Amino acid sequence: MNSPSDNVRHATPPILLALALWAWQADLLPWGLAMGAILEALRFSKVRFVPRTEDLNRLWNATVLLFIGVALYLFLARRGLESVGTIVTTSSPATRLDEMREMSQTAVVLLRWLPFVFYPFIVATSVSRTTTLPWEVFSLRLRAMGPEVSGLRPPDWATGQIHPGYLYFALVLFASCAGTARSKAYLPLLLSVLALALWPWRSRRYRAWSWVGMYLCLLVGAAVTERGIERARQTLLALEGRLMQNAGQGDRFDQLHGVTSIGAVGRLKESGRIILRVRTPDGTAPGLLREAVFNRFRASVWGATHREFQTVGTPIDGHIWRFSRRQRSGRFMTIARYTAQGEAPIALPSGTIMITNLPALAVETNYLASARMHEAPPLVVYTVEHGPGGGFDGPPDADDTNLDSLKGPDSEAIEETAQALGLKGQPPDHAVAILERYFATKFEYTRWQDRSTGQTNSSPLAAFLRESRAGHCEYFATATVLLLRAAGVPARYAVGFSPGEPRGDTWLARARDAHAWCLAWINGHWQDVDTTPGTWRQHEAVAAGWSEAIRDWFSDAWYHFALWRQRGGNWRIFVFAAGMIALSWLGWRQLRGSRWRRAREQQTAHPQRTSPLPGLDSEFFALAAVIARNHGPRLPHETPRAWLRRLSLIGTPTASLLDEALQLHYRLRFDPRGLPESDRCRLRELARQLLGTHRAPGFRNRID
Amino acid sequence: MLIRLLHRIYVGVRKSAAWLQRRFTPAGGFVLGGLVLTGAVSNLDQTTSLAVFLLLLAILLVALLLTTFFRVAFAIERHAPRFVTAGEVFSVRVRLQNITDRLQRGLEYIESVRDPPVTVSEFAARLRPGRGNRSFRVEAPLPPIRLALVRPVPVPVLPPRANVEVRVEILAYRRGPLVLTGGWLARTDPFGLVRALRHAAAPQTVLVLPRRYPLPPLVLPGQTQYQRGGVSLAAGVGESEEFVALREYRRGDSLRRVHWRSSARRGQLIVKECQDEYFVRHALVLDTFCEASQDALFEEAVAVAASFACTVPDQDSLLDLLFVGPTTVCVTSGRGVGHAQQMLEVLAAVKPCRESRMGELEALVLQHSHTLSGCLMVLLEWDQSRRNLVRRLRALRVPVLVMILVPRGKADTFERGPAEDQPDQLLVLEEGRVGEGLQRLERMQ
Repeated sequence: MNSPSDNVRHATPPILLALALWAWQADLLPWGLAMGAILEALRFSKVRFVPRTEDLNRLWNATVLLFIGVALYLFLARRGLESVGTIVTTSSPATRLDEMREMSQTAVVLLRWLPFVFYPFIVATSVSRTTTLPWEVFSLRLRAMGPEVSGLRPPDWATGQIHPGYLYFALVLFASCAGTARSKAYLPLLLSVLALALWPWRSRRYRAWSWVGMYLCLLVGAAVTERGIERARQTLLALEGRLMQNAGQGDRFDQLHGVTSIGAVGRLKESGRIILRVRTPDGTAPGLLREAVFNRFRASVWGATHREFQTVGTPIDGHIWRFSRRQRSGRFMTIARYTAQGEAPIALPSGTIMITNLPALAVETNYLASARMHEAPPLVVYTVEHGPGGGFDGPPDADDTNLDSLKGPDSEAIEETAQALGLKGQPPDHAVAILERYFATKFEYTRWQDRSTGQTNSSPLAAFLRESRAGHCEYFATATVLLLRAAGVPARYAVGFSPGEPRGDTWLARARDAHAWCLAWINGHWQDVDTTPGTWRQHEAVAAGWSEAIRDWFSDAWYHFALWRQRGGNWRIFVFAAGMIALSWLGWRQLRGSRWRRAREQQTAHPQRTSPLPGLDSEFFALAAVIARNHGPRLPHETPRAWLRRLSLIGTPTASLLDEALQLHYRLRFDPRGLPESDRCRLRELARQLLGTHRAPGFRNRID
Repeated sequence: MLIRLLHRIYVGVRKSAAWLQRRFTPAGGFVLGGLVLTGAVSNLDQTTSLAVFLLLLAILLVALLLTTFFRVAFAIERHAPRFVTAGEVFSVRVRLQNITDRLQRGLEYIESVRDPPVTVSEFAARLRPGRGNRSFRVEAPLPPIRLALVRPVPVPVLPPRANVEVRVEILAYRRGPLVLTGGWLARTDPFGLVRALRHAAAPQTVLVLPRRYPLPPLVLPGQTQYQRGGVSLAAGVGESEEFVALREYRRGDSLRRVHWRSSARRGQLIVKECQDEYFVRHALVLDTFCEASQDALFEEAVAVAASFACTVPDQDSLLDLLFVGPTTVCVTSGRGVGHAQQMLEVLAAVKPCRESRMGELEALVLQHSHTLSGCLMVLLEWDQSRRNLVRRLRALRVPVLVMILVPRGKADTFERGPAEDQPDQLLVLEEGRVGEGLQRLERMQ
């Protein structure tokens, strides 16, 4: 009975069919058929060569380098770096998913090209005498272990051998399943090709009809799978959509829907990711940078009554966006941030007059002075000029003093506190001063307050004012806005960042530096009023973990790379050229071998040793024949050295020459580096000299 | 804590890998690999790979389902050698007895070898292999943990209630006891992807001796030395034939020394006692102190020691094997004392010592130095403590042959050190070319 392994040793997979299937899928049918036909034709070819292990190793190395080169080309040609950058910098799961899809498309193209990439390797192995290859060919690590030069070689079954044809066959089938199927016939065809390949492996315990029965069952299964796959896809897409809906936006405030809620800032603060990098000319702290402003509080949720965004108009010189007609103040700050697919809110200080160097196609603002950009590059670095009297906030209206939306415990708590503080009738600046003192002396900052804490008949805000007297910035800002409104002062709720970590000349705003504060209408313009205790930054700094420095390093490295990339010219060509040079160097090393220095230093007698038994042309053989004739033949088990010792030729006058000749002969035959030309000449010379001596009459008598 | 967790994961992965290897044929392995690959690249946009993934999954599930209907009862009787050599394939004859009334065909037999347990400390040592592996270079891996590789063999048609014999080939990777626990009878599904297995127990232990290298004809250095109290040894290996007295036979005496006439007269064995306490005695010192990264070198060192252990006692001399393991060990072999086989058995069990206790080894060697004609040292490093030992032996006029094992590619850059530390002969053996290096001994003589 033939064992399965015996069958497989002589079996060959249906590569032509596999290549045809792949080519049909990839719309490269002529290519696939030609490649398959060549491989099938090579099977009948009588030309075969015996490759050395080093040749196979180098061939595989060259194939891997080719693969890396193709992968690098595809990665750069299909904006792989941008995708990686977005995946690294964004915290939006939806954006990340989109970019990952983009990258997976690149992977699909790479998969489709795999049969081309590995074709030279399979052609080379097809015209060789080797049916199977050892695993060492494919693994640098196994090669490093290497065989014991002088030890016993384990049998093939123990060294791990693989049939390259089956490897290529599997790779072609794998490549064929990249992308979308062209037809419903694909799966049954794939199963049939697979079954044909598995035929030699079948168990001989069963009759053929059992095998056919199993194949038919699977064929039905394939048809069912084909039919059900689209339905499964729809279900999974729906599930994914639902997941993404719940995932939220990530590292920026929700401007689009004009809604935030108590707790949103707290959630942001759990991250130490660097969001903004702000630079001021004199190195002073940049203060509060707002990203969104809201004016309506209902059921613990802040919202905006003026949601409509309007385009700022055409930028001056293509990159200057002017927001206010005030005189220029000469106070600047430069802000850098990433965008998500070109969209991002614009973090601005109060009193913004104009923005320069913002390369966005459109900038929009709303009545409450929230601003956002569209169609911007992945990294924007813009300069903001700001100063007193600047800003583009709409004047206060009825919504800015409205407390009607407050219900139940919130309303009671605000009314009660306003009365206790005697806020009513106070001038705006007095009311602000009272509130600042009140919150600074009676309240404390905590990083997170769970909504579930407190009594059930209370609200988070009421619990904050009456019971806990502790909370994070949202509570302070909300209470301040509502108490100012109770005092008759128009007030709005602003969210944004408060960069508080200097590093060189740059101030960093991390996600945990997200902040909420109040905008109050005092003396005819909007002023920032921040009643959160100043200790909040120390509390938040606790969240910095040990790994933050490492993450910062990567973040900075990526930031500088992104800056360079954006400023540079055709960087893709540069990176591609560098990659190609590196690959070429590696390839050259592989093909020339790392022995280039050795090769240059000593030209070997066998620069390309094709004979399986090198050194058969050694002059020592002629000498050995003469010695054998004169003194007796070498025994079958004897080495030349032992033979000469037995003949007692070592002690003769020519002993040293004979020994030297034998050394050179051994090196010529067995040294993997071969024999340098100078030594080979020496061997010839010695052989000639010794032949003369040993052929001379009377030599035998002399030694006898 | 982390090490324990990693160890548990490692053990789990190892068991799973062994299960997969036993359960799946090479073709099944290809299909399983395809399943993993297509699963990895499948997403909602790549419906083809998803479909192929499901198809391959269905193929494997059907194959697995078909393996559940395998009913066979059998017994095995194994004929295995007692000793085998590491790195070499050995054969085991296994007689399979079908104890059912059904004819069985298309089966495979897989010998079951117990996987040696890896303790947490061993695992931790392999994780921290030392300075050798603190780089991203591709380095030679550590010696395999797996003891042996078994080749599944096809079973001829097995008639009801009948026996057939199969010859199983096993490649022993490592020295040490190899426990054959039994055998698996396997049947594949029609596609030949997954094996259904039935086990029969037949525990048996085979001792795997260290691998050995052929040595050239050796002329070891040193002269005969006076062996105090070594009369019984001298009776076997001594040179003098001067008769002193007759005495009763003691265990260990050579039969060549029996005085048959006196024995016949007394009715018990009487041997001749000779005055010859001078003979050649060599020490073979094995360096066992190494980090986990040098385990491969250590295995080579044991192989070198085993090669000498087999060769030297054949030369009418005694050989003391000295090394430090959990305790200091001295084993003597030679004609009339002990057989090289015993020394190989000891070497089969020797383990590396992670803490350097050169002081103990030095004391052990120096304790024997007055009886030694020469000393063969197989070392793993050439540091100051080892050089000191060599220097002290030379000061005692004991000729020393040092063989130092060095990693691949390090032979050319080996530092021999100052002249006063040099032994009489120093042989640098490069890992992977040890056999070739040992042949240089002939030239050194």
